[in-house]
Amino acid sequence: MTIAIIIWLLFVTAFTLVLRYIRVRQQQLKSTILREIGLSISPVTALLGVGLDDIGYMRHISYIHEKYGEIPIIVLYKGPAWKADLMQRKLSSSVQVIVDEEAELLRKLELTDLPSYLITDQAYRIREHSRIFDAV
Amino acid sequence: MCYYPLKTTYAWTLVEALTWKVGVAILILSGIFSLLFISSFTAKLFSFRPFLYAIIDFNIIGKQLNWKIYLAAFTVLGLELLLGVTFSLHILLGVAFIAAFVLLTCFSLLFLRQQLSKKPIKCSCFGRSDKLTNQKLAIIRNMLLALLALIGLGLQPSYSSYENPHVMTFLVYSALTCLYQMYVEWGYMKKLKKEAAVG
Repeated sequence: MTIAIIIWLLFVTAFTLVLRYIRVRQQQLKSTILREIGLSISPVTALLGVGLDDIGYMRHISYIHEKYGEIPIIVLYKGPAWKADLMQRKLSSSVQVIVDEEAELLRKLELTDLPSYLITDQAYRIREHSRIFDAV
Repeated sequence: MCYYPLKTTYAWTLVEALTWKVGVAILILSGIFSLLFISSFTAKLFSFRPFLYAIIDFNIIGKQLNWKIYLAAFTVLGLELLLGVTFSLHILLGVAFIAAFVLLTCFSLLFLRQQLSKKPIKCSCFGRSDKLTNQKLAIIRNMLLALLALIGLGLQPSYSSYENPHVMTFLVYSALTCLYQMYVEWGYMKKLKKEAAVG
């Protein structure tokens, strides 16, 4: 029995190490995807995913600004171009709205539970990935 | 009048056969439940954030990520681990079957409530997933499992193995669930690789 427990402990340690490696590799691949999307990213940038029916996007933007300071924000909008255009007009120059009607970019960046955001650095590393809840 | 010892009668053979069958049934049921709860625990532990979000989406405690959500998450995780351990060690099976029945019924009711309110949800019940949960399927699955727990509870009094906790079974089952979790994560990595190559 002791040998079995020792083998199990070794297995669990190996499992944890392999899982850690897989997670690191997943992060690297996400950075590659982000780089290939071709968005111009400043040292710290927020990528905010917003859905078609989400009328609280101004609140989400101010939430990110409150939490991380006045960082540039790229809004990935899952909706038609004309609506994105309207949205862009209401926002300051530090916020860029990108249309993603088919949610292709959002899916690739794993921003599927909207509204949610990513904080990235200049090396396209994802520093934070979180959701925004209704009454922030 | 001549009384034959019970052992030689047909009735005794029947009792023996039934006891043996009950033993096998309990083994199968506890195997199913231990694998289910250990894998569910491991999956939730390794995708803890999506699990927290799922609790928020169920909207039973609140719509904010606060200490209550963390408390609920740790309670569910603790219960699942405890149930996984008791089922695989074959200890306190009666209590374990009752707890499993209550937990699975609660899960079914939560999914039913969510289904009635027509709000989609991503429960991440068995690991990382980017698809929404099929709620009807989840309700049926949880109800069937709750029914199995009831059957187990009915059969359990004629089976007890307090003397020999099956430690080996726990070790094997937990190793299997770890392998399954690794498979899920590996699959996700492969998907990302494909996305990166396409991009």
